[in-house]
This record gives sequence, C-alpha cells and structure tokens, in this order.
Amino acid sequence: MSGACTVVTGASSGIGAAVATRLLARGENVVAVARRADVLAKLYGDSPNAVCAAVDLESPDATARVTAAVKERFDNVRGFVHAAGFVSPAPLGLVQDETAHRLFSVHALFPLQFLGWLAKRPNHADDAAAVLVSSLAAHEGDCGNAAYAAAKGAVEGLLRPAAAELAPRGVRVNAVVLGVVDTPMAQGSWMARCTPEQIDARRARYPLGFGTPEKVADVIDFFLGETSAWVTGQCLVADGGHQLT
Amino acid sequence: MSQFLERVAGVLEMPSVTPDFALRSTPGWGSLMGFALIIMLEQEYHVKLTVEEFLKLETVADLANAAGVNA
Repeated sequence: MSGACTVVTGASSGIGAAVATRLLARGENVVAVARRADVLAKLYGDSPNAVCAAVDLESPDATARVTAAVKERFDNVRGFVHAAGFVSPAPLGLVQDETAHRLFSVHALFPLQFLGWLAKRPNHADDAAAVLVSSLAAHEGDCGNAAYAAAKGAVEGLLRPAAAELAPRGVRVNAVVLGVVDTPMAQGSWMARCTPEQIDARRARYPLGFGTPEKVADVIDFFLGETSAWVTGQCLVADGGHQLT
Repeated sequence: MSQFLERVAGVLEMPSVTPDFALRSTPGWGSLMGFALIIMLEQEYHVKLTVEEFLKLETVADLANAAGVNA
C-alpha cells in the first residue's frame, strides 16, 4: 500500500471503531490502533486498506510503534483521530499515582508526541487534519472525575498551540468535546454501577439523548474533511443539548 | 485494628471504626463518602459494587462482607 492514511486510536470499539469503519467503507486507508490484536484482526483483518497496529498507548514506545506502522505501509498521514481513552473514577483522596499517569499517557501524552511527529513535513499530507476527543468532564465539576478531567483538560490545552504551529503547513487540529456517549467504555464504567432508573435520570438531562459512536463519527468526519478546511484550533461541543439544561 | 478497618476509617476520616459502626452515622456523611468506599473496595479488594448494592449496606461489617474480608 502507499498514499496517505488516517491513524485512528481506540479503533477496537466505540467511537474509534465507528470512525475507522466509516473511513474504510469509503475506501480510505486506515491505521487502526488499539491494544488488542485479536479484536483489531476481527474488525479489520479482511480490509485491504487497513493496517492493524496493536499498541498499548501507555507504553513509552507507543508513538514510535504507531509511526512505524504508518511508515511501513503508507507515504504519510492525512488524518489523525485520537479516540482512545478510559475512565477511572475516584474521589481526590483515592486517586492513585499509577492510574493518573496512565490517564495522562493515553489521553494527552500520546497525542502530544504523535502531533510532534506529524509536524515534520514528510510525515503529513498537505491537507492533513487531526481530531482530538475531549470530554465535558474537563468543564463540569463531576465529583470523582478529577484525574480523567485533568487529562482531558490537558488535551484541550494541547489543542491551540498545536493548531497554531501546524496551521502554516496547512495541517488543522480540532477537538470534539463530548457529553455522555453510549459506548462500551461508558457501559463498563459508570453505567455498570447505576440502576436503569439512575441512568434514565441522567439521560433526562440530555434533550437529544445520549450520544452514539456513529453520531460522534459524523462530527469527527466534519473535522477530517474539506468542509472544515477553514477551521482549526477549535473545540466543538457535542452533547445532545446537555449544556442547555 | 485490622487493615480493613484502618482503610474504612481512613476513607471516613475517623480515628477508628468498629465492625458495628453505622456507615451513615459518620460525621459529614454524604454521597461522595459512599462513592469513596465503593472505589476503595475496587482498588484494594477488586470488588465492584453497584450503587444499589452499596445502598443496602449499613455497617462496616456489611461492607467487610461485601469485600469478602474479616473485619
């Protein structure tokens, strides 16, 4: 294979999988990044345009391994979608150092390093676009979410300087700031703790309902494509009207 | 005091607790304190409780039973 590709992290489920599947359906090249090789192979093994990169983004060599996967098969990167992430709720007094480091590594350090690599001319296409996934957690005062919120805040802190540095090259960087999206991550964390009634009470604060990976993929698609060619350094809140309540 | 009692006392910000201590009689008790106990059980004992399950627990001994430890 040759040509440009889009690197999608968190491609094994949820938002990342929705984005990668959509791009591949259009015949675009994708480097699908996630921890589990078996899941990636099941999802994308039959796709001739996909490269599966089983990489744990917590590892120190994560960026080197992802970029190696890109260069092995493609000329450069036209898109970067950083959808990988996890939550680990804990009140401030119980936030564990190791967990906090893992959160920052996956959510913020990896995109910082990857965008640093992308900033070099041979590595990006002329019209490349990056989309970082953030969360309303970084803006709201949800108890028990400090470490996750701090990591997502770091993502948004990265956004504007990265966009400013890359704009002269024609590379755009934007972020989506998400409310509750019904993903395996949500189902495995707070939803698993709550009763159906408690989940419904939270859903009632989302006039357009909870998000879905496909709805978020629509927004990310906008930022990846030519229709947002004049937009960079921006955070777009996608929350089903939650902030209006 | 057992390690479990020490951990519960730490979360509740009490000098010590006994097995028959009623969780909700803790000074300043609130949902965040309950949440902290749920997280402590996850981190230290790898036991995951739903909110509904936690709400049925009344004493430190109930919490110990849920964690599968002897208080």
